[in-house]
Amino acid sequence: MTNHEQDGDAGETGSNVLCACPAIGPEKDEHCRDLLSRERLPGTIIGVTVASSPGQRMGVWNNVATPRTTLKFVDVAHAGRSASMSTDGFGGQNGALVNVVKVEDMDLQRLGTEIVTQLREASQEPVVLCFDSLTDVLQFESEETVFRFLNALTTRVRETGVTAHYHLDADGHPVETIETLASLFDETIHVDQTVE
Amino acid sequence: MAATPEVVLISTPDETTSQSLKTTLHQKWPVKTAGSTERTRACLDDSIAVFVLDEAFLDPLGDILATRGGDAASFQILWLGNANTPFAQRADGVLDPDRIDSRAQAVVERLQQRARYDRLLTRFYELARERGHNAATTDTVDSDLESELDSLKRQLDELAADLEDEDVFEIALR
Repeated sequence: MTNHEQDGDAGETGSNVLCACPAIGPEKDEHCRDLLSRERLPGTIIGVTVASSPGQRMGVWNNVATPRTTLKFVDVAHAGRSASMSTDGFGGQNGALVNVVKVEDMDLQRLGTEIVTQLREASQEPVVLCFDSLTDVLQFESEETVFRFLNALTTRVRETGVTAHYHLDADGHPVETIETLASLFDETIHVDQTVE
Repeated sequence: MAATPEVVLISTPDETTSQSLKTTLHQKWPVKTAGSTERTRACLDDSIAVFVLDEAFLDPLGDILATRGGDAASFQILWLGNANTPFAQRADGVLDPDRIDSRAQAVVERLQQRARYDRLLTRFYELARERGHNAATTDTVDSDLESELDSLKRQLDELAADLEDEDVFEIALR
């Protein structure tokens, strides 16, 4: 079952969508593609990868990214992921240009400023952002720290007129955590796998 | 919600410097002065938004810089002295004592914005936690809580718009 909760301001400027789906199953990638191309095909996709890799995300975006799409990644390299996973799949997809910025370790200050730099530098509109995933960040940082980090980031997303979505494993966190984080977002998509 | 504290605490053993700063700042913000380390510690409560620390007090009060980030140190620290010291790098702002007249208001204004952003963000998280708890335990929606969260989000957006990116993330991740 999929639930959508939306605030009135979503879509008027930039918007932030929390996409809480089970990590296993097709819903996460289906919603990801839908969110990237809600209004029209994106001119720039900014991917933020933590446990996943840029190559893996590009594989998901197969029908969304065109040769004219600019692909940018802010990729967190950390001890929980091998170096080979961080560099797979590069060289462009369908001829698209790929630019990757590496952030060593889970340094949220650096991660946040690098993402915002990419938001400000992106010139090919519409600009969309995919953050994969908050569940990975929550393995390194407390809920409060992630909440505060996300407040800073979602503010800048709204300012720059970008449409952003943030993946969260719906089965990996208590309802309390998901609903606490949901306060930051303009819209929440919640896919509950336990309902048939 | 209580009014946001905006008090500036000026901690310096130099009476002339203290008066000069007070004269410059007091028309815009409430100001307290402390000419001793004992009075400084006594004044450091929740009402303080900006703590002006004279480098002459580094030895007796250096621990405040070292422990900043704790619950008891949510204020912003303005270093009054030489900018080229390791301690100045750990402060939130630096003010040259010879440039009080020309720089003090602008520097304190920026720190007041940082302090306000920090306090509103702390409040925003508290209320979001309450919302999360309610969602996990009841089926009812608290419309007053939702309104306050929306209001805080708008205020935070407005404040963040006037801050540099590095400031916003630095405060958020304090």
